[in-house]
Amino acid sequence: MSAAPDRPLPPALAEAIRRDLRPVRPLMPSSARSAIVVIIAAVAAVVLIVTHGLREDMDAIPGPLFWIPFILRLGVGALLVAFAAREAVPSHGPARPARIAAFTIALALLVILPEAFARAVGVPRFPPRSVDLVCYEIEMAVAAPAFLLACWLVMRGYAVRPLFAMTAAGIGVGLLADAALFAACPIDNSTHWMLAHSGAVLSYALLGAVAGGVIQRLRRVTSDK
Amino acid sequence: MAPDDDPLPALMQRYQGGEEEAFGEIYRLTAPAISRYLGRWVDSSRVGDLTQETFLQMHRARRTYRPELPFRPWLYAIARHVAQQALRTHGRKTSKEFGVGDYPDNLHPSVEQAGSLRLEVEQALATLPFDQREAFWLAEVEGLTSVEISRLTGASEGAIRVRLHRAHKKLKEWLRQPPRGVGDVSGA
Repeated sequence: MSAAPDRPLPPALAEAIRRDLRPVRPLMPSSARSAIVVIIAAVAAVVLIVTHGLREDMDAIPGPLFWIPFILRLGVGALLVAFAAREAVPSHGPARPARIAAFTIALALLVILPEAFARAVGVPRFPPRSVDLVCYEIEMAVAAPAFLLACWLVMRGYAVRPLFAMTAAGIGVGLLADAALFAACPIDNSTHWMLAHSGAVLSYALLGAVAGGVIQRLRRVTSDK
Repeated sequence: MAPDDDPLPALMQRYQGGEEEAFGEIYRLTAPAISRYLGRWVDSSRVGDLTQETFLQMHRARRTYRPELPFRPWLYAIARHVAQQALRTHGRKTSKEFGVGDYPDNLHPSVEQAGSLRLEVEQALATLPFDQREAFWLAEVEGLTSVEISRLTGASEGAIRVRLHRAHKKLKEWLRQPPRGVGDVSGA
């Protein structure tokens, strides 16, 4: 900062600080915070695989056809969780082009991957069970622990764009759970995936956005007092 | 200030440890610059309140500071957030509200020239779009690098460089023209 004349500390500010001047431990680095969320999401995925088993047609699917969509979901999900963790620290969040690109890619994956996969394995668009929404409930349940943890970690920080931070956390953990369900769900048609699976990811995006909006509003109300 | 000479990271660590004196020292060293920055966003009658609000929010955010992060973009990002919150309620300062008194003392070269030059610079600044004016202010007055400005505004580094280039160009064009009247900020 440039040299400046001394400015006395306003008594009201000094008093407010004194009332709450307990030592605090700095937040863990954003890489460590996002790694914890990814690990929790991985544990939930393992529990899902152990309880539900891998998809029945696993052996019939060519390797790249399974691994490419799986890794894309995992990678973009982890990236968005990392963005949320970075955003929890002022001046540490990703730049606007990176934020826009990550959201665009994530939303594109939710539409393109189910359609491309169904076409590649040759599944009709509306076979029986295409509107089976049990997977929606399972995916919501698988993502829940990581989502709660991600929200808590963002709230422990100070996101100057809470709406972005929480929405990124929602889509991120949703995509991680989506990867797990991709390894377990036996239904391949795109209608089912868009309704039950992409729907769950979008639900978490919405929950995140609502939570972010609430944080922003609460902060404004507190500031106005 | 060179990063090695900057006392703020060490003060911040002491403040995180619960030392009240460290907070006072951080306030003393940074409040004038934060007030000047907030003066770019809101009218002067609200700068004092928002400066205090910035330091209250800094207190709430203090656990997010890590010594390996540069301190100034971190604090300016909080100030920017406070200003944006205030603008949602009360609206942005218009270009015509920019006052000569907002300008820091280190910009004018001599007492004799100060009045007219400051006025010219203020008028020229007032013609810039807000994002260019903010980038120019942070770079040329507060001494932040384009990387630091990028971090605190959330824009890409390339976008900040473009804003600075355009701001410099427009200011040069403006200042090369004959002097204008005090209230004339209609554009170069």
